[in-house]
Order: sequence, then C-alpha cells, then structure tokens
Amino acid sequence: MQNSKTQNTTRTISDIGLLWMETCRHLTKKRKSNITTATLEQMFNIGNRSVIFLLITVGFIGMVMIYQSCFQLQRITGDLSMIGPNFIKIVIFEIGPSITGLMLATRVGAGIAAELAAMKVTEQIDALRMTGVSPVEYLILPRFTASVVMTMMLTILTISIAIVTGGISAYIWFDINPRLFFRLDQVESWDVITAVLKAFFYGQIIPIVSSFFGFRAQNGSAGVGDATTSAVIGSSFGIILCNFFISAIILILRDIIT
Amino acid sequence: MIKSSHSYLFQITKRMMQETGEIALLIGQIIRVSIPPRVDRNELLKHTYRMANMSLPIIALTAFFVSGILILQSSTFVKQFDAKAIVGWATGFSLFREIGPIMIALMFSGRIGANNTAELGAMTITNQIDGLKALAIDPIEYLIAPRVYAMVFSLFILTTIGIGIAILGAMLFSIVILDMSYLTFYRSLFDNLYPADFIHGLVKSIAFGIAIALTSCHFGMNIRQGAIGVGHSVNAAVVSSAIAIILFDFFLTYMLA
Amino acid sequence: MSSVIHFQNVSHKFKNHTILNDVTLQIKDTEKVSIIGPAACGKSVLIKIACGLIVPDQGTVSLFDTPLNQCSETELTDLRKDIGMLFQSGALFDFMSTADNVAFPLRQQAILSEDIIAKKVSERLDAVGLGSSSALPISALSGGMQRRVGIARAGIALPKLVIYDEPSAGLDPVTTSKIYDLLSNDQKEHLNTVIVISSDIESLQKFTDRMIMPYHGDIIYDGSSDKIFDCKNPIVHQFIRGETQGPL
Repeated sequence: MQNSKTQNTTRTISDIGLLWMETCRHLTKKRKSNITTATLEQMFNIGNRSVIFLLITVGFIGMVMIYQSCFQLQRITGDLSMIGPNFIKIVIFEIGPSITGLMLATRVGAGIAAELAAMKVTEQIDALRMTGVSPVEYLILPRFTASVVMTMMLTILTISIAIVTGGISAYIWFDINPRLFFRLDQVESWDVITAVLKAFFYGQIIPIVSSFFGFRAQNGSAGVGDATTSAVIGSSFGIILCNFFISAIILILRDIIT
Repeated sequence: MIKSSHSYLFQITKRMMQETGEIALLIGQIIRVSIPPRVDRNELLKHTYRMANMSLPIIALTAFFVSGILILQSSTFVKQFDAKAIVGWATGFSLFREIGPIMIALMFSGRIGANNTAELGAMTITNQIDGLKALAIDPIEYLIAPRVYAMVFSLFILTTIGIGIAILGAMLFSIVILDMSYLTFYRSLFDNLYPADFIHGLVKSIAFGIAIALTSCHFGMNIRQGAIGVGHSVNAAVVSSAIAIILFDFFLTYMLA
Repeated sequence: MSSVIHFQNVSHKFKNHTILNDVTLQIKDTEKVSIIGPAACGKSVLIKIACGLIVPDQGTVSLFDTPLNQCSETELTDLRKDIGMLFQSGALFDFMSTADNVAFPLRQQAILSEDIIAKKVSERLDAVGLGSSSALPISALSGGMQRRVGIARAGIALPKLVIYDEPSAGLDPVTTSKIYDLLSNDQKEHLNTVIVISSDIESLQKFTDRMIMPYHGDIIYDGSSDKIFDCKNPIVHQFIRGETQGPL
C-alpha cells in the first residue's frame, strides 16, 4: 500500500515533468493554430483579474511584516534605523515573488484546473484531439505564456505595494521617517536576480501543474473538484520547493562568485 | 475603459458583500445548532481524524522546507553582520507568530478546505442536501457543524505539530548551512522568546481555522451549475480563504500586541 | 478496398472489467457499420481505441493502414484530421458560440476562406434544423439541440471516416428520421465510411449494411444488418427484440 503510494507520487512528478517539456517543445515549434488572441485573453484572466486580490493580500502582509519585526526589534535591540532598507531587501528577494506565487497558485491554479477539468470530463479535450488540434498547443501554451509574463509583471507590482504599505505603517505606528525607510542601499543585484528567477519559475509551475491535474480529471463533477484541489496544493507546494532550491542555488553561486 | 473597470470594481465589491453576508448567516445557523451542543461526537472525531491525517504529510513537508528557506535567506544577513546569535530568535519569532500559522493555514485551505468545498458541492448538485431535508435532518447540524468544528480543531493541532517540525528543521538547517552549534540556536531561541509568542500563533490558527471552515462550507453549499460550477466554487473558496486568512492575520496581530 | 480500421488481437481491460478480449475486426472503406449493444458493454471504448484516444493493453490497431502504436502524437494528430466524431456527451466547446463550434474543424484545416466557411456552417446548421441558433452560446441550447450541433460539427469537414456515438439520443422520432436521412445523403454524396453507435435497431437497419455487437469483451455478432434477426446467439436474439426474458 505504502509502496504503491510512493510509486504514484513519483509517477505524477515525472508526468508533470514530461508535460513541462512538451509545452516548452511547443513553444519553439511552428504552430498550426493561431493562439495570439487566446494568449491575450489568458493574460487578462491571469493578470488583470488578480490585481485586486494581490493588492489586498500583499498590502496587508507588508503591514504585518513591519508591525511584527519593529515590535520584536524594539524589544531586543531598540534600533529601528535599519528596518527600512532590510525590509525592502527581503520584500524584493523573498516576500514579493513568493507571496505573489502562492496567491496566484490559489487563484490562477484553481481557475485553470477547474476550467480544463470541466472540459476533460465533458470530452471536449478528446474532441479537440479528434479535430487534429494538440490540446497542449491549443489550451496549455496560451496559459503558460500568459502566466510567465503576468507573474513577472505582478511581482513587480506586489513588491512596490508591499514596500509602500510597509513604509506607511512604519511611519504611522513606529514613527520611522520615510526618508530613513525608503533607502535602497541594502539591495544588491543578487536580490533582483533572485526575484526575477523566482517569478519566472513560479509562473511556469502554476500553469503546468494545474493543467496536468485538470487533464487528468475523471468521473464527472466530483472529478473536477478533486482536480482543482490537487492543483492548488500541487502548485503551492511546487512553489515552496522551487523557492527552497532557488535560494540554495543563489547562495552557492554567490559563494563561488564573490 | 474607465467605466468598465469602474463597474468591475463595483461588481466585485457587491459580490464580496453578498458572500460575507451569507457567511454571517451561516455563522448564525451554526451557533443555533451548537447551543446546547448537539454535535455528534463520533462524527466530529471521525472528521478530525480524517482531515488531520489527510493533510499531515503536506503540512510536515511544507513546514520543513519553509524552515529551510528561512535559514537559507538569513544566511546573507548572518554573513554580513556576523549575527549568529540572533538566528534562533529571528526564525523563532517569524515561525511562531507569522510564517508558521500562515503557511500551514494556506496549505490546509488548499488541501482540506478545497476538498470540503468539492465534496459538499458534489452533494449539493446531486440534490443530496435536499434529500437530507426531506428526511427531516438539519443539514447544518448533520453536515456542516461537525465539519466546521473538525476543521478548526485539526488546524489547531496541525499548527502545533507544523511549528514544531519547522523549529526542528530550522535547527537542522542552521547546523548544516550556517555551521552553527545546536546550543547557540537553542539559546537564542529560548532566551528571547516567551510562551506568549507561541500562543500568539495558536490563537491565529484558531481564527484561520474558522475562516477556512466557513468559507469552504459556504461555497460548497452555494454551488451554481454542473461540473464547471464545482470548479468555480472550489476556486472561489480558496481565494476567499486566502483573503480571510491574511485579513485575520493583520487584525489579530494588531489586537494581540 | 483498403481498410479504415483494423484490430488485430486487441485486448483491453479497465480496472477489473474486460472490455475487449482478443478482438480481430476490420472495417473497410465506404462501409456503413453500426455498433449495437446494451449500455456499458464497451461500445464507446471500442471507438476511442480505434481513434487512438485510448491505448489498448495488447494487440495492434491500424487506422487508415497506419499502425497506431508506432505513431508519434503529431502523426496521430494528422491521422485524426480525417475523422469526424460525435461524442456521447456532445463535447461541444463551451467557450465558443454554436457557429464557431461547427466551423472549428474547417478553421483548423485552414484551407478555406472565412466567407466560404460561414456559408458552409449555415448550410450545415440549416440541415440539422438549427439555422436560427447559430449565434447562441452552447450553454443556451437544450440537450437535443447540442447533439444536433455535434452532428453538424462531426461531418462538416467531409472526413474519410465519420463516427456518431448515439446520434439519436434525446431526439424525437421525427428529428431522428431527419438526422438519419441527412447522414445517409452525406454518405451517398461523399462515399465515406460511417460508424454509428446506437441502440435504435430499426433506423440502423435501414441506414447501415453491417452490424457489430460487442458484449463483455467478445464480438458476438458481426454480419449484415438484414440477417441479424436470424442470429441464433441468445444474447443478440434477446437484445434486438427487447425481450425481458433471457441471458441479459
């Protein structure tokens, strides 16, 4: 029993990898169907429709982070002068990309999985294949491209929101001068590289993992629910794993280069 | 364009208020069946066991990797300021107060909350809830209340376990990555933190549990149509759970200080 | 005459259910074949295996004389362009309008101009009696209307092989005869191969020449439609007469 469960998990991971490779292969291949409109539509769905959700969540996270860390620092060292630059650094390389990734995994991942799973259980995916259209090219590729582009855009947006709300709350609750807060002297090029890398990979993980679970749905409406659940948990966990490995790789690279 | 985005905002606000109102009604109904406590204890234990069991692996893995991420990222600061003495304290307070409860709640919402919405949704569209009503069984008492209590209870337990795993993981990673001794980590963790920090996180986990349970049950019972409806409901449930978790986190941080 | 579908010793199991058990079967060019049988006896799976949508556990399946197990997904995609299919659940794309659904196979071929496509689509929708609903979204159509849109979509690109899975389910007797007339006119005009899955024996006898009945993995009848009433097999005997007494 335990063995077959492990086998299933390994199988799932390798299948997701294969789907990823196939999508990337379709990126470079000459395409038969015109998917520009579909890609733009998906960009609107993934990007524009997530803005309010991200504004609320990341904005409040920025405020909470400042509140907690100032509160703790006051208790231990009492020196709040360095809080701004360090907060900005952390937001850029970690909080901005990762919270954006996790929030998009719930919103976009669940959305993609729900849509594709409903298509799968009503045989629409089979119908596409019968018309000689590759479902990877027609359905996944627009979502993939749109998600990579929009995740990077939204990450820029969330980083600035978190910094602004953090700065405002630092001024209101702890009376930290905005001039002291908004300083970029701790930010290194490594942090920006990390942020870009993270956003780039999160943007790929979300559509691939959710499309995989959507395409695997079976058994009517219950299957759609299962697929959506697996997509949320799968892409969130994928993001956490990816975060871990990117952080480790960046750390090692830094040690080698500097 | 401006007009369309204006009406879009209006619609979102309207929808949010409507859903919040309906969730408030659901709270009322749950309180009604809970006084005097009429919740079936066997049902409650069964659900708690199932939910905790289902989500334990993913939460343990998440906690472990999150602690690793924290240590990896503190390493730049540690090298810069040579601040090994505060690593335990910094990871401890962020895990206890913020990252631990939030990450575990988000994963729990994805695993259990979404699953619960899908289950209730499938029951709703196959008219099983109406079937219960026809048999004079109150669906709130029989279906919803045990699930809500079980979710709150199991998230509470899982947060305790998850934070424990994360602290152990952080200790392990700090020994491996930062080349610290176990004693330095232990000292800096327990000298600077109080039980209050831990309780802060647990109070939050209860609030998050309530938020996840209510939103997932609400969206499961108010499903719109067919196979697509189930997907949309699960999507709406996880999104509103995430918003609720982060809003609750903010207000609780403010109130508990 | 070349073969369109060729099964050689094909076996397939779904969980513990035997769906095909060492089946050998050939369907030739320009044949009109119907597949009959009680519910859940593997009719739809048989068809999906033939199109390469499901890979069988054992045996070789050839489509247009090309063995499917040696095909890559791209080659399969090219082969499937010569097949039109009505799915059991309709499988209409719910993100498109009715007319766009019908036009989809033509647009994918990308040979015809938009004007000609529009003309063909409206002719086709008129033929199935849905000329006025072309702009509606799929969700606004009833089950029977969706089935007719599916029929229109399956045949529009004049494929070499058309498969109709339950074309008459949910349709009234008059519409059913109209649909069968349409299918038979199409076939006379283009001389393509037609496979119909249904349990509507009377209409099928008029329309098709050959009947195949799979049952729990075996093909228990494969022969001319006219002679099915003479078949001695008790299952076939009971099924086509709709008797309540018997092995089924």
